[in-house]
Amino acid sequence: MSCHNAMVTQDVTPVAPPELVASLVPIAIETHELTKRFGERRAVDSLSIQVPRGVIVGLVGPNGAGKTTTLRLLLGLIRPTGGDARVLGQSIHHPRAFMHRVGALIEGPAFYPTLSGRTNLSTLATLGRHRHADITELLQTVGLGDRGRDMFRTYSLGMKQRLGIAAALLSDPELLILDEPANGLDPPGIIEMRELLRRLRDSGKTLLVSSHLLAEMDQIADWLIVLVGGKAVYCGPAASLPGRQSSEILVAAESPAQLDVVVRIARDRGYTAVVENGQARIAAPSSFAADLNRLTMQAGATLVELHQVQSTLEESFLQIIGSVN
Amino acid sequence: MLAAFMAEWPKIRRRSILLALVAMVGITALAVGVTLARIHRRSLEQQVLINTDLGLTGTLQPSATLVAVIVLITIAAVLGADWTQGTWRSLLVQEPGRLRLLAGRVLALLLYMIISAVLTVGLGTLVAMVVAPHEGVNTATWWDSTGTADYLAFLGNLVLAVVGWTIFGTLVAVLVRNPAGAVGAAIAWLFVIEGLANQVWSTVGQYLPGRILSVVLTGGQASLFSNATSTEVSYTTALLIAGLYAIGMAAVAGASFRYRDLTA
Repeated sequence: MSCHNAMVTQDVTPVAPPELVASLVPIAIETHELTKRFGERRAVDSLSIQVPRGVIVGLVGPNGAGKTTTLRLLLGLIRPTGGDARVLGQSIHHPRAFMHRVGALIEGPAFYPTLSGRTNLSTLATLGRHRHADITELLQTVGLGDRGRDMFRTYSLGMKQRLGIAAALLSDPELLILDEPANGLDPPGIIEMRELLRRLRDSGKTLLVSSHLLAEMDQIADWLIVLVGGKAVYCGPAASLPGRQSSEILVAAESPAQLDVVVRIARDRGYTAVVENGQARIAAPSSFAADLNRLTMQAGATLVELHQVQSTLEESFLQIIGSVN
Repeated sequence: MLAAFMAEWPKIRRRSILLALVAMVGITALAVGVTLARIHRRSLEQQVLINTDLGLTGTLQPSATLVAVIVLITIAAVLGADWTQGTWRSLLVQEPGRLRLLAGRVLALLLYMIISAVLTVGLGTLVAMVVAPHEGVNTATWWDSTGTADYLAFLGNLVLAVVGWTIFGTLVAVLVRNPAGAVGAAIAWLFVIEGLANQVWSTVGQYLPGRILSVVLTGGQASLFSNATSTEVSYTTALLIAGLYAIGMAAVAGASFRYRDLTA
């Protein structure tokens, strides 16, 4: 699994462990030099990515990075200017060959405002030749069981989003493509959505989820694609995202003098260490934590707190954006 | 295509589309009632003609023209709205075959429009049958063998015209991709562009789609209650040209829908 792009630098190119690569085949989506221009602007620029099946893939990037355009290309809603892509093994130039195995929510839920949620789903089920019997269960699944007969235009933004998810699930798809699925959801709704996506992943489905909620992606994504300016600057396991491995050790001691001892020990071993808010922050790998604990004890200092803090997706993301810019 | 056709029917129950039927019925009933109620103020020739086998179709003809315009506006608005609502993308996720989707939907809408137009004319006929005797009009000739044949031919021409207006409305919607814009463009084409073309260069103007479909609708006969000058285009010629227009418009609409990006 890899991504190739002219902008990918050594700093951010992921190297997935071989055992992980072996466990991630087969591929759900792959693009090769996929390009989409709107006039002179390249919304998607020579995008070459591969994503495995059976995982939640987070598609992240700043506004205008080309996330929605990429999703539209994969669904055959727009045509590429160059390059090619395959979804579930089929070329995007022939969407009828794979779309019956794909569910999607693109750029917000779009339904007929004066039809009920249930009727909207029913018409889509008829159109896609899906089982109508599943509609009640789907409405229950997304939390609209008691509002299915209400007109779509009376729904809140969160309810509309839930109906969009239900529509995407109509075909019991192998691959779900969701554009900002948590948009408009309240905190309990976001938690429900997160659990739903995990359940779907655990049932063997592949989910490609575009979102600007990095904290949310941090919790659910197994695989990450970071887009900047239409290019993939990272495509690989979420855990291998550059910057994710870097960590800090936070230490609290019985007294400021003892904290100074901790800082000195860390610096003596070549790590950056500062004192902030009564704690020592040491930029060091987790393996140093045990050594630090032993060395401070030998130096006569007593630690009252020692824990490791891994950088968040947000921090890694900003680091990547910064390196690209 | 069958799935797209079947999936369209629940949407046709929407108030905005049912309104088209209400408008057709209302306008027709009013037009027929007013026409017959004012028959004594018409010219002697018209008063004579109303009592012939052409009397009923002549009475229904003006409202049939309005029905055709309503068909055009409804189709342009309904299909155009799918771009502004973004519903095309929801539909295309379920049925990625664009031509199948468009054809199925348009056929369902066409069938609805034909049923609406025929029901409307049927209701107009009832109104005419009720009002005519009160105005001293002899309706016996309306239903003799010639009158019945005229009536059936009128219905057939109405159906053909509805087919033509539906394809025209589809083309405008697919090109403009916006309900208000599509309706505006359709009206501007009919009443401004074709009107001007007919005034300035009638030789060409009479072959434009709106005029040709009018000839098909009227069966090539001058309207009984209209002062409009009759066209030089014969019914047979109009039918042939209308067929060519329909094929051309359907091809352009299909190609545009199939190959243009869906960014809405």
